[in-house]
Amino acid sequence: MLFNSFEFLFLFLPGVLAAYYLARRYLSHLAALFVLNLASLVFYAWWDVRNLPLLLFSVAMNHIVARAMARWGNQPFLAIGIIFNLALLGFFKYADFLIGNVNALTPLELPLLNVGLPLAISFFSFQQISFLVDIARKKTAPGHIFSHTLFVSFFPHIVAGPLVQHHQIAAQFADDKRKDDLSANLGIGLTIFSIGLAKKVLIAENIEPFASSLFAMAERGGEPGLIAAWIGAVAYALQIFFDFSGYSDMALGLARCLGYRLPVNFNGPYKSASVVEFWRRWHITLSHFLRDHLYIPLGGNRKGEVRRYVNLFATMLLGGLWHGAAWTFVIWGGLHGLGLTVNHFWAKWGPKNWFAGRRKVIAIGLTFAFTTIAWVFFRAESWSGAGRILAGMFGFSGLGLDGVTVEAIAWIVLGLGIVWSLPDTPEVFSDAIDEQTMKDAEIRPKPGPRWKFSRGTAIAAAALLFLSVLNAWKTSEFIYYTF
Amino acid sequence: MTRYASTLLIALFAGLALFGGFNALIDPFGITGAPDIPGLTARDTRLLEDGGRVHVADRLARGGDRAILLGSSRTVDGFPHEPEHWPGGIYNAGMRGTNIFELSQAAALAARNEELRCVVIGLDLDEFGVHSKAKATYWLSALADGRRWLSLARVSLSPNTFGASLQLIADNLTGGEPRVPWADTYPAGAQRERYESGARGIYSWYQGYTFDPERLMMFQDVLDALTASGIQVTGFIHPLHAWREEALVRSGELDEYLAFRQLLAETFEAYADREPVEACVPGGGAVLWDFSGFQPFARQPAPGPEQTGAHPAFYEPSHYLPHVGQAMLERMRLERMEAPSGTVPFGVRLTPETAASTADALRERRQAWLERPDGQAATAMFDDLELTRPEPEVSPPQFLNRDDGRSLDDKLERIAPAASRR
Repeated sequence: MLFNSFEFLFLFLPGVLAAYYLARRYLSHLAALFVLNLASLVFYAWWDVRNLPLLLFSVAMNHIVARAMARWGNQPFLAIGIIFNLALLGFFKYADFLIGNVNALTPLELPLLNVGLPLAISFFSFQQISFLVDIARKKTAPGHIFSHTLFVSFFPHIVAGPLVQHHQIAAQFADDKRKDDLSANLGIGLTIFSIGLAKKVLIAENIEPFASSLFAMAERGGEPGLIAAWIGAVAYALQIFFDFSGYSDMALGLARCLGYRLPVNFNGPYKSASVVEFWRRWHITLSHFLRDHLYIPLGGNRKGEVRRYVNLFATMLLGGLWHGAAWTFVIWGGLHGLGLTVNHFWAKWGPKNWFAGRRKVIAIGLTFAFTTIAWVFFRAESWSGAGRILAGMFGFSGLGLDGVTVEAIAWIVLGLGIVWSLPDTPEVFSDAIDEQTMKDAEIRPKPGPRWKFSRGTAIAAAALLFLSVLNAWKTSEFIYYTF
Repeated sequence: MTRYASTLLIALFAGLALFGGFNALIDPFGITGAPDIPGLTARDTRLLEDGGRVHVADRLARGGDRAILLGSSRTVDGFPHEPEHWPGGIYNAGMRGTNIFELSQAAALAARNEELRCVVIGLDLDEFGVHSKAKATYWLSALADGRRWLSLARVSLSPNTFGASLQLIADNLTGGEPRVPWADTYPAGAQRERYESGARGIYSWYQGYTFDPERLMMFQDVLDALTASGIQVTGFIHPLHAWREEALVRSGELDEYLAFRQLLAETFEAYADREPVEACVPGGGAVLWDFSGFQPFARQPAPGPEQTGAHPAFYEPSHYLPHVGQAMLERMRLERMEAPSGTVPFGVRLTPETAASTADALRERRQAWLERPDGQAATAMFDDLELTRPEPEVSPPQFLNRDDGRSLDDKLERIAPAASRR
């Protein structure tokens, strides 16, 4: 069930909202949590009910481990828990990748397992690890099994994040004295949801064909020229931003409709003037996870410059691999590792403040070009496909106007206009998002337009939602659903 | 905040209710069952347009037909809307501007119906190209996800439906039609112009044509699933007028076409031995006919420069007349020998073996036609055209993606219950 599908918008969401608030009002908070749990499990099982036992098994095992840690100390339970989660992820996501590589490098012909990738396993495995680490660091307690199940399966974020840390949401679930401000929850929640839905349905879906066309053509042996390759690659850069940040906005909005706060995941990443800044604005919760659970444990920047760069590189390689079991994702991560290293190197050894002032535009342009080139590996299905597109982008296949349409250019101009001239959702709604959430995402809102909750903006939000619903009939998957 | 939230919700639901209610009431695609309003919605002028696939999909999802005839606008216009002499009847489920992606989805959707015995499907090289995948109204229809009730919601809340609703009201008020119907007579020179401009346009189109083998694989999955569930699938390659076929040859696509024909024959042959529950045409689970290739009735000269009477077999080079379609059905079902023009041969059962031998016959028929005045006129026209070096008509390619494959797999998975009861 996609957030932009009719069954979600007209059946699931109204049903869950009504059942949750009625349960809160006439039964109890625990009953309301039960409703949310049930709804979340139904939401997850809707994709493929065969995946549900795996999710519940993961919750049960991690809960047992967490309780053991709380009672008998961290070790060896923390290690067991982390190995369990990584093993689960490794088996379902990376086993065939590993077998394929072994087969390619040796005369062995090991059979592939073809187990299929359970939906959201990358997300919930990382959440479970962060949960166990938080328990070990005494930042949170195991809590009720209901609360733990909901922490993992809460339908606004289970499929594609944001990656929530247990302490960020457990206290909200446990707060049975909370007051429901239904008007504020629905008003703010639906407005943020409408922005996210519009990003997905009105922009990402319309840009998608121009990106898909290029990548599919390259996979089939086509050699796009300079312009066609850049148009397609930029189209993908815009598509993935509007798709994923749209999804994240919808997740935030949906949680808010129920009165809960989720962490912010995006804050205008294409306005970044460096790769370092990009990762502070793009998929913020993943960046924080990688920083807290990989980069810092590896030593971070505490063991000298060289070690710092090695740690950065390793973190980003594994971050790339987390997205998918393919070498193209590893290269994507590696490129970003390289970009971060060069950034730090420049900051230390390069001329100070060279990119300050008006030259910041150059830095933004270079960062966008770099991330766009890196997206080619992220999106391509094969080395050869990525190679043909990059050859085109670097001018090795001629000017290439074939397939370049006015429509494609118009959508790209519109998309770039939005990402470069308008503030992203967290800034626009900074008055309605609580201080802690903004602090967690390290966002300090700049002066700029803010959403005012007036009758006129209510009608504007309704109109946006109306237009998005009217165009939600072509419900393609969110890109991050495949991870 | 209370005022904000209530304004938002009231504005949203009022807008959705008014918009959806209007579309459901006007019902331009004939699926909601709303009563006709005399003078306003009584004439269903949009059922055979692009939105017609919504209507077709709704009927296929509801089921009840024993045999269906699938295909593009050649099927919509080239066959009677209620073909005769077909035991148990056959529903003309043609959809304008379609291709094998939509046709595969339609066949898979229809196969959920346990009464379905036969699928007759018109095919063409055109339908396997990367130039198009699905019309906008495909995503509204039950073809997209196989769910009628969701399709009803999508259709009611669609701007496409709203546009069609307004057009339908305008048609009813003004007596208009969405397109000029094919006529028996035309102004002098109009038909000739249509044949010439049509052939020129299709020449550029073929120059930019790219065959997509993944679409054939997708169709093969459908063929496999349908024949395994006891449904007989009869494919046929559409006839085209010699001028259009010559455009294909002159654009350099003849080898591609013959290779496609061979591949299609091999695809059908793989399932020919399967036993249908009830065969509609002689043969096994999968049968393929070919009516293309400079057939005698398709070599009848293009209309002359001053001709006003309609061509006896074709509206224009790409579309044949319903009596041709009717004759094709009879040829496939009864192995009738007389062609629409009264000459033989008329179509051929295509197998991997006959595909090779009939390819030579096709070349011979073309050669014979080229020596006639009509063939010489076409040659002169294409010679002139090539001197102008026309640009190939290229559009951004649209390849099948994971969602497309999964939507088909979902439908094919739902065939099983009907198969066990068939």
